[in-house]
Amino acid sequence: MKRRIICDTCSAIKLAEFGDLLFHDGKLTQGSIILHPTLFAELKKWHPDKKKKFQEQIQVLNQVKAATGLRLDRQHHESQEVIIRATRDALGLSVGKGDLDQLVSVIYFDLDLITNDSPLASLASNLDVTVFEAEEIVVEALDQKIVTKVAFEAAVIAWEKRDEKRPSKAIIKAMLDRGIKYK
Amino acid sequence: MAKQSVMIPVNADVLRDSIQKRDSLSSLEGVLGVSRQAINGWLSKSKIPPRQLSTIVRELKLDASEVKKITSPPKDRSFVLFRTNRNVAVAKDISDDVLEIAEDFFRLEALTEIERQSTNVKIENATDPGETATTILKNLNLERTQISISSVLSALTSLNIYVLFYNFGEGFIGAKAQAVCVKKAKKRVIFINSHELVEDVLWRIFHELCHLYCDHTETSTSNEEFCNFTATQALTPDSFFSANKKELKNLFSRGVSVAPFSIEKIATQLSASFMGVLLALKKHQIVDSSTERYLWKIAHKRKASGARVTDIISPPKDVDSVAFWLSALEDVNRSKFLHLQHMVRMGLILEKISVRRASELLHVDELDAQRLAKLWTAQYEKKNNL
Repeated sequence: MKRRIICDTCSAIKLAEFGDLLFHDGKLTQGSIILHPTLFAELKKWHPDKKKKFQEQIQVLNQVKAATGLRLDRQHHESQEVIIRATRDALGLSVGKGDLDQLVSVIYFDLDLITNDSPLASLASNLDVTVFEAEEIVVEALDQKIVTKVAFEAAVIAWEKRDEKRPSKAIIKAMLDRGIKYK
Repeated sequence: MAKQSVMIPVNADVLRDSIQKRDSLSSLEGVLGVSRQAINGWLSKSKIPPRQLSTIVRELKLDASEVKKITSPPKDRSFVLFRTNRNVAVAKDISDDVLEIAEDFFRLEALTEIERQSTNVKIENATDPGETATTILKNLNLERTQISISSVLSALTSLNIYVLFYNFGEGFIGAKAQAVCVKKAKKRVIFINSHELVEDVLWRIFHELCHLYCDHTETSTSNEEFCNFTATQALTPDSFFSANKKELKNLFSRGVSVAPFSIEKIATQLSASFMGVLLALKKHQIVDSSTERYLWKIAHKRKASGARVTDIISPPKDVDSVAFWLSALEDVNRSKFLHLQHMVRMGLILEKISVRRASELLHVDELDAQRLAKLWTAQYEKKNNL
C-alpha cells in the first residue's frame, strides 16, 4: 500500500480537524498519511494570532511529526526537477520552486499526494502521481467507519466558517451521497 | 481531478543520442512498458509523456545538464539586469528568483487573452543621453508635460513592456537592488523594488527602459552611467534648466527657507523627484553652496521618511492580509502598482497558479492564499453569472 503525503498546511489543517485519527499508521486501508517536513516550516511562519486560532490542529500535526527519509541525492533531484519544470511549462501553470521540490520527493519515493490545489494536482497527475483531495480522505474514513457522520458534518461547518477551499464537484457529490450536508 | 494529458517537447536528436550512448531502444521497452514503435513515435514527434521521460532519465542515470539539453527549447536572448546601489553584484539565486517571477508573470499575463503587438524597442548605437531620452519619450508618444506614473505605465503596456512593483524581501534590499529589467524573447518586464520611494519610481523606470531600448545584455559601469544620465535627461532635462536659469536663480535667491518649496514645485512640474531636481540645480550652478547644503539635509530627511511603494502595495502590520488584498485590488489608486498581483488573482480564479506560489507572490501564508482563492473565485462567478 502506497503512503499518501500532505505537503500543504491547508489540507493538513483540514484533516487535523479530526484529531490524530486519520494519521494513525495503517488505519486507512488505502494508505497511511504522512506529512512533508516543509509543512512545519510554513506553520512556523504563521502570525501568532493564527497559531492561536489553530492551536488544536497544530498540536495534532506536531504529535504526528514530519516524515523522515525524504531526502534524495542532488544529482537525481536536479534532473527530475528539470522534467517537472518542463511539464509545468507545457501545462502553462505557475507552480513555484517549493512545490517542485516536494513533487520530486513524491515521485522519487513513489508516494500519493493529498492536495486540494488544482494546479499542483494537475501537474502531479501528469507525472502519474495519484492525487487525493482532503475531503476524499474523510469520505474514505467515513466508509471505513473511522470517522462518524456527525464528526464529518461538524468538520464541514468548521471548514466553511474558515472560508477554506471547496473540494471538487465529484467529492461534494460523494459527500452528499453519504448524507453529509454541504452547501 | 481532471487530468489534462500533456506531452513535453523534447530535442529528439539529443534524447536519441542519450539513449543510444547507454542503452538501446529495445531494452527500454520493458522498463517503460511500451513498444519500440511507441518510443520511436515520441522521437519522431519530438514529444514525450513526462512520466516516461522521468523513467528514462532514472533508468539511464542522466544528469541535470543532459536532461536540460533534452527538454530545452532553442535559446533565446533572455537577460536580467539589476540596478543596484553602487553597482553591487547580485547573487545568482536572487537573479534566478527574479527570472522565475517574470516567467510566472508572462504565463499569467497570457491568460488575459489581450493580444498586443510587440513593438520594436531598440535604439542603435546610442551615445547621447539627451537624444536617447527624447527618442524613448517619442516612442512612448509622451510629451514631457504629460509624464506621470500612470501615463508612463499605460504607454509602456501598449508597447508590451510591463512595470511590476514587488517586495523582494530583506535579502534583496540587503543587496541594495532598486530595480531590475528582464527580457525574455520578445517579452520585457521592469521590476521596481517596493522599498523604493514613490517619487523615485519614474527615474527608475526610465533607467531600466534605457537598458531595454539600448539592448544592454550585461551590467557594466558605462552602461549604468549612460542609463543614469538618460533617466536624468528624461525627467530633469538640461534644456529646461539652461533655458530657465535666470528665473530659477531668482527663485532660489529668495532665502533658504522657501527653497524646498521651490524644488517641490519644479519637481511636480517635471514629474521628477526632489533629489533629481536638486542634482540638476547643482549641475547648472543655480543654488549657492550654503543653500545646497541645507537642501541636501532636507533631501536626506525626505528619503528616510518619504512615501514608499510598499506603503501602497503591502498590508500594514496587524491588518488582516486577506481583507487588505480584497480591497487593494479594487482600489483604483493602488491598481497601477498591482499589475502582478492582479495577474496572481486571475491565476487563482482560473486555477493556473498553485496556492503556495500565490502565497509567495502575495506575501501571505498558504491558508490566507487559499481563502483569497475561494473569495475571489466566488466574486468572479457572481460577477459573471457563472
